[in-house]
Amino acid sequence: MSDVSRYAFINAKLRARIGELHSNEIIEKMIKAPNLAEAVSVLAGTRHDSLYKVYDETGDIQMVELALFEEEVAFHRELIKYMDENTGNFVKVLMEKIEEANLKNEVRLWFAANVLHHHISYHSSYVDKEKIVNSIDYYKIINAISYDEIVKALEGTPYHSIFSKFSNKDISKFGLFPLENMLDHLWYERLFASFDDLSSKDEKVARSIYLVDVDIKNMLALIRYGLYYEFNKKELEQVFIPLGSVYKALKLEMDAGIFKLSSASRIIKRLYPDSAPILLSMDKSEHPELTHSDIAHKTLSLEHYLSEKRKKEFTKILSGDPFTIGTMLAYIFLRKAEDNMIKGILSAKYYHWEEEKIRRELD
Amino acid sequence: MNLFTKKMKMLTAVIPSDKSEYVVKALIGRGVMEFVRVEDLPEENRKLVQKHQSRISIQSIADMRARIESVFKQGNIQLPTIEVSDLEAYDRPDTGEVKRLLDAIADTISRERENQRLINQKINLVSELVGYVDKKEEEYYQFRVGTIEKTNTSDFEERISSSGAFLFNYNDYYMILSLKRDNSRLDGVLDRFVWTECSKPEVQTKAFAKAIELIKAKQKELESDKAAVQKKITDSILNKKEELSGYWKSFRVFELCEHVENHFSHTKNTTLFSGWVPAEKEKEIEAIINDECDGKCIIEWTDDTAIDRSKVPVSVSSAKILEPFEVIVDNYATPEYGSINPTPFVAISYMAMFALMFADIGQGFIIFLIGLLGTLDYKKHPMKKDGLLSRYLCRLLMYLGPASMFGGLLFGSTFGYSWIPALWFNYHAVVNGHAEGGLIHDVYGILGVTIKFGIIIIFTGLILNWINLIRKKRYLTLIFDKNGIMGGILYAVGIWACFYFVGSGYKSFPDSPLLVFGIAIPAFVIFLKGPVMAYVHAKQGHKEKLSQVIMDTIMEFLIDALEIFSGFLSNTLSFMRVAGLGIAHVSLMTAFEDMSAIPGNPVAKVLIMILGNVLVIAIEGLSAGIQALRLNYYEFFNRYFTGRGIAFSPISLKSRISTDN
Repeated sequence: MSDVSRYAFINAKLRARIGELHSNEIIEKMIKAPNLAEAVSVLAGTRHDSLYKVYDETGDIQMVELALFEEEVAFHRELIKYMDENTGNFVKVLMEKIEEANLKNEVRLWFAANVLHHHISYHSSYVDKEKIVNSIDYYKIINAISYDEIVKALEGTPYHSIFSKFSNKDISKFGLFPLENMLDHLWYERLFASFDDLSSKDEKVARSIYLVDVDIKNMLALIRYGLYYEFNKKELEQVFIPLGSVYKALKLEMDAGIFKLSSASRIIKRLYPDSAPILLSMDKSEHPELTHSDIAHKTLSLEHYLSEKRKKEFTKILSGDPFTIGTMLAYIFLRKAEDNMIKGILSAKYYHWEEEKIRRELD
Repeated sequence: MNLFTKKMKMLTAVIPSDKSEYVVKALIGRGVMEFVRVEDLPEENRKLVQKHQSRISIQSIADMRARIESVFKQGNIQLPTIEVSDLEAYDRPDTGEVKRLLDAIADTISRERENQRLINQKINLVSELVGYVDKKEEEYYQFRVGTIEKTNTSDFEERISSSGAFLFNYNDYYMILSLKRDNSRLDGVLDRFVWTECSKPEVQTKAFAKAIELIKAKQKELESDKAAVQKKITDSILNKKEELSGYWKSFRVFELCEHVENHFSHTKNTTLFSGWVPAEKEKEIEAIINDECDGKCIIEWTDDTAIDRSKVPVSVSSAKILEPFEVIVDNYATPEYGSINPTPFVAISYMAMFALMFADIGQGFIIFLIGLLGTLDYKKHPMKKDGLLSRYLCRLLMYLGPASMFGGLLFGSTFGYSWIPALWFNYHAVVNGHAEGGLIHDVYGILGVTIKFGIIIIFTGLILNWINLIRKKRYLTLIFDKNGIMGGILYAVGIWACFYFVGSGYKSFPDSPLLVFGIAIPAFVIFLKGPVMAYVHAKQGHKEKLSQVIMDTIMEFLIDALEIFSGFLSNTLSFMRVAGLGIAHVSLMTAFEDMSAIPGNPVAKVLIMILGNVLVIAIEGLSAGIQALRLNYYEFFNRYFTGRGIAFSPISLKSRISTDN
């Protein structure tokens, strides 16, 4: 199948949808709305009309978030319908990221009920229990009394090998972080393996996008866990996703025993010069007066900066070859960015944040 | 209805400032004036004037209006309409008062939404529990019957409830229905109150049945609580509907007035404004302004001839009955000022094309019914969002249905059957090769009919173009252009030669000097276009080099000749699609008729024919509609419709403007 016949229809459809993504006007109206109910009502009659209906029926923004999640799953399924088998399999791997997020939420609820002894009763209704990619009995997980029941519920899925590495004792002692970290690693491993099924042009596009994605994730891990939580070298190495140029450079220094957080900043400055000013302003050796909250705030700024950078890259992809997987990846990213923006504003409105504060956090 | 676009006049008026508000409201009420900013007037008129300054923040008004709209949306209330009588009744609104009212409503809604959220969470929990019970998934839920030793029952009940379990009474026992996943918390509570489980199996069994009954009743109770909350929210909005409608109208009127006044300029005591008005409204507008200013005003009218016609806004008025076809024209472009209004011509050509492509009395009637029912449904539910069959499409179908029925009468087709004799020729018989006698007896005949139909359409377009050019006094274009008189003559001669050629059995062209002169003279005149235009430009001071003129003349002539030959030929042959779709329509119906005969069962036959008709209405109807649109846009409009006009948009109560910020 040629690239043109593979992508002519779906990419034209997606380009039209990119044009339909919410304008700044709608986001602006939501931010300006004086309360949650009025912010949600802005969505009535738009692409997200169903979210307004969910809120109108339940008054619960967590149900709205679930509806948004289900929409995300549904549009990925729709993409698969228009793809050939190999590209469809790649989209399935992308969907596994969503599935993984859902699974993490389920396991977090289990953890809250069984390790922290919180009552989770109705919270289970905020997670999706339908099949996303793999056959997972979410009811078994959410109702599990022991960790072993979760491991059993995941038999036959790619996640089983990860979950079976942990025991009830490990989870109670170390929490869910190591498990969730390994799930992230697993997804990137499966994602990069799935590139082999794509055409060479698509593989090139996808690889270039996700190599930057991995770098961004590793940079954020370095800041969050290196600077903020002050992980040691060994712990940090376990957090890093073993892919991409940032990891490669850091690993070299780690292996040579010369790794320092200040040298990490230098590496990132070399690889991503634009992000250097924010990174350097976060270096505690240079700025000992920095508090945890300063670093947390700067981390958010960096995340936002990197997200904007990604947005620009995807916009660039859209002006390039129209018959590659790039259009689809750009659509997924832009749509996700918009969904996150909507979720963020609705949460802020729920907690009665002032307009100014919302703008500050979004900027 | 006007055959041409309406004649316009520019009004410039100076009125006393204290009368400005009354004039504005009166003009909005009439809704026939498009305002022009004073900055856009000639320099000398602008010197002594200042721009309008609003006394209230327009943005705050727009925000308040948007908030009222949001509240209406939550109450599922349609926005009110403003009548002319409202203009006088509504004064500048007090935003503080409105804000207080909106905040009070928002507080009520937020409170009720919070209740709704809590009830919904309980519903989710009960539904999950009931789901497990119904599916007998005992591994997920637990049922207990027993007693407690401590006497503080209200504390017990509260703690059980906060642990996510449901507590009921059964005789002297407590019954607890819970999710096993909440056991770790629940067990602590039970231990604290020294829970003793009932050991009698018959009590356990009866109590369980009772608990199921009670939890399902609880589920229903919660659902009705949720509905009650929803009603409270709607009622809290409905109770204030009139008040909010009044404020909304005030804000809307204020925004409209501000929009108009932003086009105004002021001296110390006077207000100056200007705008376009259809010439037929001249006296009426003058009377309104005079009336509102008690005659203390100066009004000047500028005729459209004094202004570059490309800058005059275009107002087209068609009969109400032609509204769906006006949309077709609007979607294409706005006609040039002073040119022919294309709507009535599009209405006729569109329906004729549709009737030729989709000719069936029965199917046409179904299309008409769909359109009628859809329109009535939208009228009954004005808030309903446009679906696949939009409001506009439903209205259009009410025209296309009868057009199709008329086609069906001409060709004798009813639901694909020849139940009634054809007035013109039996399309089915012709396509299926068993036509006897009649005017048309094979598909070539049908193709010939549609080509002739195309020629009529193209010639109509050419004649409309010539009328437009005469009205615009563009006589050179009228003579020399490919869509001008010479182009028309060449087309006419070409058609004559082609028909002669076909009539001779594809053997010879007319042996007449008329053919030679009919081609040579118009071609020579078109050739002269270059030198004549060069002469006109030279007279206007843009002299060109002789070599340039010669080169341009040759090149332009070659291109024009090619365009006339290929353009007219392809445009005419393009009408064969009308025959193509008509033949496809008949063929599909014949195929379904043949298929319906295969089972040999009358019920199956009827079902297959119903299915066939549904498919043909959906697929063929859509194709015929699209092709008719395409033929109008590309073959008909190309001849006479430049679409270079600027649409006239007077400010009225229905204008969709917001703030000018």
